[in-house]
Amino acid sequence: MELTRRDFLRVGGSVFGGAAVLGLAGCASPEARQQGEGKGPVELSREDLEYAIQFQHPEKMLAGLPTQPEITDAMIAPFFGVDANVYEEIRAGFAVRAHEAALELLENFDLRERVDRLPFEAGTTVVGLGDSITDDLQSWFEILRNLVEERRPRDDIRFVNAGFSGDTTSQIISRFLGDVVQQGPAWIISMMGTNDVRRHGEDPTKILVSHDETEANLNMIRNFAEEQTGANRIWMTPTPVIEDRIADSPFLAPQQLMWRNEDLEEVADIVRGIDDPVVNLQDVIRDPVDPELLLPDGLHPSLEGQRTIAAALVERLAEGRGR
Amino acid sequence: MGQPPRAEIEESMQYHHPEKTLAELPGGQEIGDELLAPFFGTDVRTYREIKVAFAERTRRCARELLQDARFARLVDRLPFEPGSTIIGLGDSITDDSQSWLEILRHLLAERRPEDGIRLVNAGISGDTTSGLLGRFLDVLEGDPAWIVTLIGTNDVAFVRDPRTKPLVSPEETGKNLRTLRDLAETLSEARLVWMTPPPAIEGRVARDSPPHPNQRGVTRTSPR
Repeated sequence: MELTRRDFLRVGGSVFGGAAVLGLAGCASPEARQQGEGKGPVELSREDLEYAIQFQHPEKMLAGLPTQPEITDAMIAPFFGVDANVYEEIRAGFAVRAHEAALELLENFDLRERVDRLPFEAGTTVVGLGDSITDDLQSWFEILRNLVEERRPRDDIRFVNAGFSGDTTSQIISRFLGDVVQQGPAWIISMMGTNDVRRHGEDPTKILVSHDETEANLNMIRNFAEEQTGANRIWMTPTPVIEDRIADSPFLAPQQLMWRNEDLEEVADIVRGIDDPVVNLQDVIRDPVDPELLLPDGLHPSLEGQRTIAAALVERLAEGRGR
Repeated sequence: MGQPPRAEIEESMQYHHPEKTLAELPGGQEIGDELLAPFFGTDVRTYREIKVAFAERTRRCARELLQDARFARLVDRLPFEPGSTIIGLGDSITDDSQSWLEILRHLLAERRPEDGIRLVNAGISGDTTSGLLGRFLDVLEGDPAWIVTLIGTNDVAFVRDPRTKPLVSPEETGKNLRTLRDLAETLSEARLVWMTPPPAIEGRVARDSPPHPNQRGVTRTSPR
């Protein structure tokens, strides 16, 4: 099944808040940002443009406007300073890579067999809920979509990518009804918390959401899901980062963004405490992280990292222990 | 596809200004009315008409306030230096196209047009103190002389059921507010003024919430 515009979500009004757009992935490098100040479109390298399109999906936010607009690529492309052809070409490139990653995984007999055994019923909806690591056009969720479509094309399982770059657990709560409940999911696969421990500022400053608050938010999301959807649930912990790379990233460093692995471990502990099945990604991608598993920004999993996450998720799901 | 009813377009435009968050995207500096109007289900002419109508209502409101001579003298004495930047920070109560900040803009334009004071509306509908923390450095980058903040209403929004936790717990709100103040003190010269959230009419919020076409279950205590 193709990712159609219909799969784009109506996102809560509150998504207009906070770091929705700057969020996990700022777009323009510092030079470009300076250049951009009121002086026409920012000239980005192809690489930077692709990075922006990979993680920034304003259509998800705009679809949530009360006027519920029908959104086309031609309406979105100008926000990236390109025409619709270039925009579509770049998006298609990510779709191809997610597909190829799935095909590579399927070369493994055990994994192929696990995909066949995934507990997704024909005709149902699977929601992937999270931040940029899910929103990523070549994320674990997009790879999962491709795995299932390759092996079970007739099952017509609908995959809804409800990742939104920059989101904290608190922001996810405020869009949960529209993005999850109203999708009528049979499965909710959640990976969140990385932005809760995001720090802004040169001095060590408060993480965006304190650990106690993250814990309360996660329990609320879990209970909300249980009461409102009856969906099967599975969670994944945040992955570790390479702190030095974040500090050198032309995207993250100028925004004075900072992550610490000790904070991420703490959130991973909180996620493991949820009364649902959990995939501990801290065991799958270990600190210190193999640089191949992350993008140069030191924060987001690379295609190989995403593929590793997808394989770990499939393995756990195929064990057949839902909820 | 026909246009949504005018009232719906107006309400949507009043509280939603996607250009503020889209500005960070590579093409963000180029976003004009032509690009935005379709997202509100309308053409650029109607879109501009509605924007002008908000500005006119706000100007009228400022003029009414200025009919009181004593109030007008207070505006004259406001401690804003010529050429300085004043940032109004908050949620939909600030983001509102006819908010207190927009009225302040017209008060200054009426009384002190030559002072060239720049007012920036950095209200974003739906924002909590936590969301503000996530964009505060960008606010400081605007080099404001004053930051006037009205935030916290969405922190106490309950999703679905008032027995659950609010969007942001009170202790967390307190920590966030202190962090915002510390960041401003460390990283800028700005003077800070805070306003508390105004009260809501709970019964009206409850009645207004469910039938909304884009219902999301967040029981808002602020206007949409």
